Amino acid sequence: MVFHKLQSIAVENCRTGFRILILALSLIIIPFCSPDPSIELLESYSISFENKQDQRYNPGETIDVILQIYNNKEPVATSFKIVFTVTEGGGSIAQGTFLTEDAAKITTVWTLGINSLDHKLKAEIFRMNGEYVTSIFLTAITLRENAWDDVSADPDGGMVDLAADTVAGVTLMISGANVYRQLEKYFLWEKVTHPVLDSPRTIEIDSRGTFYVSTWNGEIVKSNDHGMSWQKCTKPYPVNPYYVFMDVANDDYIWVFKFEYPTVFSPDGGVTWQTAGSNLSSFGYGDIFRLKNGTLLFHGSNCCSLNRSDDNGLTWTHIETPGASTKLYVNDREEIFICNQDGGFAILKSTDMGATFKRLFGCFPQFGTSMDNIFNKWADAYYILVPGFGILKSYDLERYEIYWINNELNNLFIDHNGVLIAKDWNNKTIYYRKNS
Amino acid sequence: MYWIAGWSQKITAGYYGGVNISDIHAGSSSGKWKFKPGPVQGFYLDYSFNRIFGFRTGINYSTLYYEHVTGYQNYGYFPFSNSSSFWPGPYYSFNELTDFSFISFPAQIRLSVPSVPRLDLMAGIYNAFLIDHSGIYDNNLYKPSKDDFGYLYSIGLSFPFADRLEASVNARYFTGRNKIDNYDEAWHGSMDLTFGIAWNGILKSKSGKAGYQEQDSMSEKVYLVYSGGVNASWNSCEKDNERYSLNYGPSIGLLVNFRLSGNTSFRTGVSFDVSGYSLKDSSDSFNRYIITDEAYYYVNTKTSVDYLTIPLLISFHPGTGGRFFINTGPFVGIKLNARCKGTVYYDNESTGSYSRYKRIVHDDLEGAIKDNNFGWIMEGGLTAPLFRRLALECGLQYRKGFGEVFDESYLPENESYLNGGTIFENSSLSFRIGVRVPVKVVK
Repeated sequence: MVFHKLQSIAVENCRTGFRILILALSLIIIPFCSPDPSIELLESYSISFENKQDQRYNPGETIDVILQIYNNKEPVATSFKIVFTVTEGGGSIAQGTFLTEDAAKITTVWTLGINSLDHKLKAEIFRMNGEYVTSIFLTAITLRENAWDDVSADPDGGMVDLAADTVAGVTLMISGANVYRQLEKYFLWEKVTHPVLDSPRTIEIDSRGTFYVSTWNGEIVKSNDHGMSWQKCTKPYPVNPYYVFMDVANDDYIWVFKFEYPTVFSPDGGVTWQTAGSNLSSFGYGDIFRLKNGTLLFHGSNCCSLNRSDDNGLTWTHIETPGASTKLYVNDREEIFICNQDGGFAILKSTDMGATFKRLFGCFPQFGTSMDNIFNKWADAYYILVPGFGILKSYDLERYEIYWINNELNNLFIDHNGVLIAKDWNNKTIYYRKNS
Repeated sequence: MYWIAGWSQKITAGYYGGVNISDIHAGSSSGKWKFKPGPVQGFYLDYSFNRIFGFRTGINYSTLYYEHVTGYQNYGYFPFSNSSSFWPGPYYSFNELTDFSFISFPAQIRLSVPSVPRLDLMAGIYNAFLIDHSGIYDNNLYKPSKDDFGYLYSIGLSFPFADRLEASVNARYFTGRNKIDNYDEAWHGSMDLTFGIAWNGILKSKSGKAGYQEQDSMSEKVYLVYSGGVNASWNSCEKDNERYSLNYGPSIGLLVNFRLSGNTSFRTGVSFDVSGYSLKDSSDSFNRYIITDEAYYYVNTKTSVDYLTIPLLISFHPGTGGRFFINTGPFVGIKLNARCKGTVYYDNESTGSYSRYKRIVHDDLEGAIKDNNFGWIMEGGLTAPLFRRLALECGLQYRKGFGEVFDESYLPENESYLNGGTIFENSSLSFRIGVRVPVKVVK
């Protein structure tokens, strides 16, 4: 009997204990039950302009702006409020605010300001309750008249050479080992492709409008139809696989220079090549001018290397120059101008075939470098680049005025419309100036 | 007159089996370590020094299954130092599964309360040897440790049901001290629940019988209180405490009450408490309020810490009937686990694109929380008789933890943080219902 009583108490206590235990375990375990970590994309939108960024326009020009909203997750219509604001450039927008459905295309007209280079249009997207969602910018560039506007975008930002045909109204330039043709607007360029135009390096033009291109693999390629078609010239150094220096003289002779190779020239547009005498190549590459009496003048890239030849380049005679001369220019009156490094940079003139020189101008540039397109003429004015200093302007090459001080310049071109294009030392930026 | 079951045996042998719940102790604070069930079984031998103290050892076989889940890769922006990715992400990539089978040899000191059912509290050590292992992971350098050493705590109830036989239910908590492998800052851990049967006739009492003895009185000085309840906890920190709100969790445990005088008692015991706070605000972090410039997330999470709490209370019973009681005293909280879970919303906006995400967060924060928390308890309540021999307690208990709960290493730029005030301090108010169970005296 005692045993049975014990058993019944034990069973009763056992039940009570289990209830307590189960309750306790439930309270402990339930909090541990929770969903696993996860990520769910609730909504996703992409907003973009169909217009290309950083396009170039004339001041005051209008742009048809097209904004597209995409729902990336599901085609559920969502209403948005779009607000356009001109944030830079001073222009205006035809309609500033739109209420639209999801996946909509919004069109408006943006009128660019007239006094700014850079222009920026901001499109802000809001929910209908005013909550900000995102924003996007459309940028544009206008190039002004009578002002220097810098461009660092491709292709013209990387311009390395330019040649202009003022008769035919054609300008070609080289950037990034490609030839580009200038379009109707001077800041727009179109790539020229042709099978023989393989890695162009420099470009020149002769008086007949023939463009010559030297390539990185030592070829000379020419075009007689303003860059529409191209053909290879005879290779000046047949065994040379690397680039050469090329100069087209004022008599249309093509001169080609290469270190450790004899200087050669072609009187027939690159069909045949002759070797210049007197070890001319020891003076480096440079400029050749033909005088009316047939005499040739040459100054190489090496210091103090003014030479003359009276037998069509077969033999050369050295002409002493004051200071460390580096550049030669001969004007229409056959006056000889040299640039030397006296006081930094100086321009000197000789009217007696180099017997005497007269100093005309001097300045102190920020740096010294190779002298490329130094003397540039447009209409009745000369624009003289002083690398590391800026641009001088002169009408008679006797008196010079400082046209633009910019210590970062190292080259200067003029297109067929007279637009000045200065090249920055950083090889990424050029500066346009269109004079009205 | 009251009958209880008691034996005069010295040695008891038993078998048990049940289920373990893995509870890895990891140093990372990213992702969720799931509580995975596994088998456990074993034999034990128990030697009683007297009716209260004993020693228990045996052999135990268990398989621990670990699974780490994270869905955080490649989505959105996670500010360094402020989110679950603050600490180096877990070695385990995405969803990773491993299992470890051990044979272990525990050794525990037992303290028994001679009530019915008998309550056994045990603590000890174990040595474990890995006998099988497999895993899905992507690190070829991974080499699991071949053995483990750690601490073992258990609580159990035993019920007599036949001559020399008793049934038992035990809950055990294992915490390893050897790193689980050569790569991770992680340690083995598990909880298990076992049911067993024991035979206590191996050695007989001096009288040569292993039979029952009659007991006829209850202790005047000692009784047990099994209690459970719900607590509302909050963050009583010094910095931005207005940003946090209540979190709710269980409080379950038992107390041993020693009567010191007519109106005064001393109480101690052990309880399992979940304490923490909720955060529903904009923040750069999932588990605390911090904003630099514009917040990255909209956070709706609960940060919880599981504590094993040991209170040391003085209990006053004003009046003659003893129906009211006031408890007060210090406590120490031993951290078991910690986590932050909830929902987080965030935007990923850049020029011309906008995406919005919902993220289910479950971050294991065990490594981010200090191992211990100290504080003070104040409680008031009522008692009422229950089923003649028992009594019911209802109490409202206020706890206040002292000092920062986050480990300082978890807090970026912790010096400046701490100079600006604490980030996380424990406070809670719990409603507790308990049952007083008398302890019997064996004659």
